[in-house]
Amino acid sequence: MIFSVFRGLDKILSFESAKAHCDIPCKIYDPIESQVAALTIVRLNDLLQELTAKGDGSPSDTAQFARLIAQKEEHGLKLKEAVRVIWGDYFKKPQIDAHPDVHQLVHQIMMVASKVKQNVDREASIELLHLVNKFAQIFWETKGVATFTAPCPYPPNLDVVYPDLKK
Amino acid sequence: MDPTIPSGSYVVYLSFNKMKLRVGGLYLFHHRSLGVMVKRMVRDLGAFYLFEGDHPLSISSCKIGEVHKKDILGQVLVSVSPGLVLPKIHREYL
Repeated sequence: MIFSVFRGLDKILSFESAKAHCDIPCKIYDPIESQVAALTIVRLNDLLQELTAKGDGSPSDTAQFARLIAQKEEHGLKLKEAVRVIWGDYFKKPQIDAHPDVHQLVHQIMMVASKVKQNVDREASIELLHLVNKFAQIFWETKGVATFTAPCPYPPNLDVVYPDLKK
Repeated sequence: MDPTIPSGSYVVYLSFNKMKLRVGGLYLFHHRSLGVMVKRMVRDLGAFYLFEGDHPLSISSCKIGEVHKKDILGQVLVSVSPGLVLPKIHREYL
């Protein structure tokens, strides 16, 4: 009730805004961080499969296996954090109104990222990349920036949504 | 300023020339690069003051930097938050 009164007055008098951000409002957001993490996870799955296929179980291979799993875990966390920050800090009412499905998409990314962390599952990691690309597409749409899809120029050479900044 | 003042709230602040500034109080101030901010005063260093937020993830006072008295706009008295029936009175450090 009182809040509505203040909001009404705000519409008439345009009160000055004050910030109280928990993070520095640097306004630097880019989904590429999450896309690179997703690509890395696919690549790590490929390397894990190659190592498993080799199957000699030497100490060196065992150490390499542990390193690959640790990196997969780290990039899974990195991806989740990067998506959460954009969703939580950048997406506000206008962006959410334009893309009401973003909550569902982010939740799906969190779920699939967990699955990818828990398993050595290439299919799931590709699904994760697909979801993160979709998130990137929505992000760039909110910025009014056109996008294009092209294979990344390094392994695993999978399709990535990039902003077309020349337009 | 979560959880003390949720995002989107309105604040009413008091401002006068010989305002007594107290550590622990909530103040509005003008920051050279971040604009007008609401934060809690954590140190009175004589020549300037240090501020930080109440949230554990809030930017630290060293990132906000020193705030001079001339940049302090006033002390927050009341906040009116969405979803709350009654306004919150911040009188503990008045």
